[in-house]
Amino acid sequence: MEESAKSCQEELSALKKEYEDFVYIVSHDIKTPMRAISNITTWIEDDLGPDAGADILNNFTLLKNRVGRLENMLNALLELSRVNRTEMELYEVNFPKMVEECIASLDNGVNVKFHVNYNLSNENCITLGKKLNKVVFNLLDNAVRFHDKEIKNVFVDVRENESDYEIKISDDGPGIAEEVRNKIFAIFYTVNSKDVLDSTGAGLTISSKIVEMVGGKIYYTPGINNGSIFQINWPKIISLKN
Amino acid sequence: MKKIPLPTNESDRLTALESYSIMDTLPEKEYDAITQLASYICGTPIALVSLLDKERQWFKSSVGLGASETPREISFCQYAIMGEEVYEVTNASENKLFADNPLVTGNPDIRFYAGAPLKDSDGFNLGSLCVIDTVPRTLNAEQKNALKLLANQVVLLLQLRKKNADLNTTQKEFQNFIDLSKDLVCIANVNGMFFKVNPAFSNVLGYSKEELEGTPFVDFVHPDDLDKTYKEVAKLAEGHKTISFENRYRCKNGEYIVLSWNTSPDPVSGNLYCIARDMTIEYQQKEKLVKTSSELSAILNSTDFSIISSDLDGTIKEFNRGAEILLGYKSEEVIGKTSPSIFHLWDEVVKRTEDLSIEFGKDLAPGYDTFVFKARELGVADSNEWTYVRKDGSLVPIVLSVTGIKNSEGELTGYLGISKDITKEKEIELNLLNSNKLLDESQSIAKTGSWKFDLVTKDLVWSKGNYKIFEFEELPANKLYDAYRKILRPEVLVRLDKAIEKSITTGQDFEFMNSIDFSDNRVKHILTLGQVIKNEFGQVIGAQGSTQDITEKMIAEQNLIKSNKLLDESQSIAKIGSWKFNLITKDLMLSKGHYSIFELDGVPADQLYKSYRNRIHYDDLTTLDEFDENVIKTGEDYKTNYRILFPDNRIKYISEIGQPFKNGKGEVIGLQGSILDVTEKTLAEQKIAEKAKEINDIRSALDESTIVTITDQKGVITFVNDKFCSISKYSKEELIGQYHYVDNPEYQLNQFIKNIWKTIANGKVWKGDIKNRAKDGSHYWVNSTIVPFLDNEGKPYQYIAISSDVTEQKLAKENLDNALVDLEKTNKELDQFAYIVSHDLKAPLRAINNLSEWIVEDMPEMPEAVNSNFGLLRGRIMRMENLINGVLEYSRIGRTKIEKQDTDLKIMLHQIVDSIVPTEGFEIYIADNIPEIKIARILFQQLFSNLISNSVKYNDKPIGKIECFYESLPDFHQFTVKDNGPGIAEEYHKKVFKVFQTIEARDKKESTGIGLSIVQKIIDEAGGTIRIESEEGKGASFIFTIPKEI
Repeated sequence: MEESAKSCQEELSALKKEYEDFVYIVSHDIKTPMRAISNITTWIEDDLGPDAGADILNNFTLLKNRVGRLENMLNALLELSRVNRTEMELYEVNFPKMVEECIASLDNGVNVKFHVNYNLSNENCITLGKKLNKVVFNLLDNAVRFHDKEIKNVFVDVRENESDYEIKISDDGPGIAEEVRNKIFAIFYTVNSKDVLDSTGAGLTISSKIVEMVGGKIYYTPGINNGSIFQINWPKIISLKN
Repeated sequence: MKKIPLPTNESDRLTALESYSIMDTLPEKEYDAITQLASYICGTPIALVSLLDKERQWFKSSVGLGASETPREISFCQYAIMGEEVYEVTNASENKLFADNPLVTGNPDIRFYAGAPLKDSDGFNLGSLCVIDTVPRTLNAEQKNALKLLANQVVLLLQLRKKNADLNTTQKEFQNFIDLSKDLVCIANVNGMFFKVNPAFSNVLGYSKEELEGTPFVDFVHPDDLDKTYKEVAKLAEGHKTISFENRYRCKNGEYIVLSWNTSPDPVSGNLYCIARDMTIEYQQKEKLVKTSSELSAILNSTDFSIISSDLDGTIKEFNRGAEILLGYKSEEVIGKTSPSIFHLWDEVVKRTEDLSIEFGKDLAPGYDTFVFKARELGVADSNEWTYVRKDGSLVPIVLSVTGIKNSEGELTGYLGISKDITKEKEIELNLLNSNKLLDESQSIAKTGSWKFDLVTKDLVWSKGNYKIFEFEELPANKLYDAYRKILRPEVLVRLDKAIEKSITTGQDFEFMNSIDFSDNRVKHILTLGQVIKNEFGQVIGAQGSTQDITEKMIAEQNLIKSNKLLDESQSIAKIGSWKFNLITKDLMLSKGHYSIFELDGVPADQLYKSYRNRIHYDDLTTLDEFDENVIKTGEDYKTNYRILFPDNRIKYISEIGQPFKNGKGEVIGLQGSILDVTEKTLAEQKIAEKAKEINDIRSALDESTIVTITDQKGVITFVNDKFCSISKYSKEELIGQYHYVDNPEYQLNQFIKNIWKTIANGKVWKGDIKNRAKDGSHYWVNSTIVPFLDNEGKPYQYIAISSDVTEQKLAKENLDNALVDLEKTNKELDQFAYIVSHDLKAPLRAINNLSEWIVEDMPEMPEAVNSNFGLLRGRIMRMENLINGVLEYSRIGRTKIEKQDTDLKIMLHQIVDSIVPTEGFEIYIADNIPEIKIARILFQQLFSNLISNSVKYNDKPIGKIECFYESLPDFHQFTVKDNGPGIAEEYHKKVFKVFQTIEARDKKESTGIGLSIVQKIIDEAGGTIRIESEEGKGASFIFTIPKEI
């Protein structure tokens, strides 16, 4: 029985490796033709000049936009493939400071009111700081980016449990329709068409991969007034999963 | 201060550098050789391998320079790593960047610098290989090229170093793992010799590593298991990937232990990788459990004895069928509810308590303690006779043996009382005493009378007593004689006259006995004693004497004879004997029963006493003598037990009652008594005691090895052992009286529990695994055997569950199940992920393609440059789409199960050729012997399509030839696809199968480079191999094998 469990585990890790390979191949090897496409587009733009017809320029702008989107997607895949390869330093993180920094580095934080609440016996914690920072930033960025109200409220609640930190990031934005909730962590999934609101659809995928890597949990629950709540359970002791 | 140049990927670059663990290592001659070479080739006095970390440049190797590192901000190398090419400074003193650099203005006075970046496979520039001179100069193209090549060499060395380090770590970890394994791990070589063994091997088997290594592993297999072992190993040759079996293995101390093996061969070396586990303890425990369980039930089911166990407070814990039969109570009426005291007569308990108080000199109070006091104080079985009160109030005499029950720590946990009905023995004993009494009464003295007779006058004078005996009215003396003679029978008269005559003539006393018949048919037996009366002349003139009614005596004597006969008979049946010993004459009289018990039949009377004493066990003789003396002294009865020993060493156990008999003065002149052969009873008692001990042993063994619970017929727990407490984390007190499975939400009132009850309530044994919840909420699994115990009507009155903890096995199983689920889930996720990624990436790609087409359409007069760029753009888009499709396809091989079906490969090949080979310019040959085999058709279609389309794509001859051959090898099908194309240089034979490898630049031949990777993966999955035979310019053959259907 143990034997079969073992071979099962082996097969599982082989599959996981294949997954890594896949992402790596796509993000890395496809980069070359991508770069070519990007370069050629620039040349064409230079050659066309500003005098071409409005339709043509319009189409060309669209074309550039798609090229940019494709590049973003590939970069996101690359980032995904590197989640457990880079920025793996353990260092002391000060929760309030980290959240403050994340909020400060948001490029779209106008008209947003942040409500921050801490319930910590110790504000500091030694952890994979860059990763935690990334997840918190992604969630805050999402909360603001997809907000549909004039005045935006975003709530951050950090609470220390016995074995983990419970980080809740909620908003009073549009929320997520029930029928698509199980898709939001899938790569490249965006609730709205990418033409409506241009986003890669990789932020939550990367965040969830990070949380999974450290042995934690991330899930979505609908908030009051249709808003969203994203809860992360970030373990105090990081056990890296391969 | 000048601005420090930093690569855009600096932090990743530093991480990469760190991963090589190269900084501050000792010099190595491989690196020194390269710097030396660089210095020769470039003709410079100084050459360095410089690596840049955050703060400094450090030289792994240097020629012509004393320093081992410098700060990064003054290094030349920081500029060299910013580009891809050789960075050259021809004259530093004229270069703005370096003119005031301390390395230029001072020692070592650098004027010339040329550095080739050390670019690793991830694209990070770790540092540079540089050459330095103190005079301005330039490098020619060859020198630059050489410098770059050497820089590549340095990178290769660094990567080799990293791989070695990784390998070492992995090997070390693996070695540790093997060394620490409790399982026996070994490698056996192809010849069946132990090649390597881990320490567990020595620990378990007792051989040293040296004794094992180099010895054939079959040398240690039990001879009876050799065949089996060979057979299993032979399976490996038949292609089994792993085998699992058990055999017995000889330890150094000669003992055999059972090992469970898992063995896999290394397909390359043929070595066997084996893991074995010592199963001995598991086997022993299994056997022990089976043995103890069956013995226990045999004992408990015995109805010959009543077995009642109780705890220290007297509460009944067990009440077997024998006890139910003897006492009339059902076990459920008493278990856990009462103490055995209710079965006893209070008077007896009080009496026994008084006896114990005297014996132990303590003031004891009557109660439950009375029964167990002695067993507890002396630690031995205490046997006593008691009277049990049945449930219906009737009484039954029993012998009760009480022993303490001890747990494995030797602490007293309760008592076991084993009792036997001794009604029959009691009755026999009582009969004996009664008959003795009767005998005593029958020996009472008769009444007497006296008489006087005158021979001359024939006058007869009688005393009153005499009249009473003869029941006469008083008569005058002259008439009495006649009246007397009248009542005598004629023959008696003759005897009487003769006796008188004899007395007269001889003058002797006479004795005459006669019977008298009365009118009411009574008969009296009369003894007449007389002596003659003589006158002064010596003549006999009369007689006088006494008369004695000896009727009663006679009857008594007759009865005695009869009763003695009866006694003997009954004694021999009941194994009872009686005896009488005269202290004065030392005469010993034994009854027949006594003779036969002592087996002294035929011993003459004069030797009886000696033989009798010889029979008595020498250890008991003194005690017996002491009793005798005591009786003589005190005149009191005694009762004792002793053993008799026969010459053939048989032993009989005797229970004796003795009492003194006294003469008229009240002096003890002898002893008499009876004996009872209690051998069977004693042996039975001993057996009971042994059984009781055995039960204890079994109980403690069970307690040691298994989990035991006993419930009544309703499922209420009446007994749990310590093991159950420890696994369930409840205390005994919390468990007893509770329903066994009610607290189990897993099964509460569900079908599983119902099925168990259905089985056991019908008196059948239930076996299976049960998941239980411990007090702390955790779950554990037990493998239970529940045995119902049936009463006389065949209905279960209690259930004993014997269980073993199988939580670990279950968890292993659960883990396996979980792993399988995970596997499936991951597989599905990956498939979905691959699909989504491909799909989502293709969407903007198509948009770009469409948009570019529209733009071209909208601009009829498009400048040539733009037009050609759009062409280029669409080419790239197409390549990217092909790549994405290829990757998706590649990732799906092996993960999605494809049904195998019989496929005529010849037909398939023709179809493929028709669809992908142009009709012009190619000659195709498909061998006739290509078979029909069972394969995953789609995959093989892909396989052949890829190979053939490669041949078409890369064909460089006016007439391309493509040939397909088949050869049947012993275990494999072998296929060859051969072409006459450009061929493949040997260095690429392996490389071409890697993902995204194309030999030519992609611009020359549009190819994703993923086709052969797909081919390789399909063949790998099928268990075959592929290789290339080719020489450049002479075509290539792709030869692959597929295992024949197993």
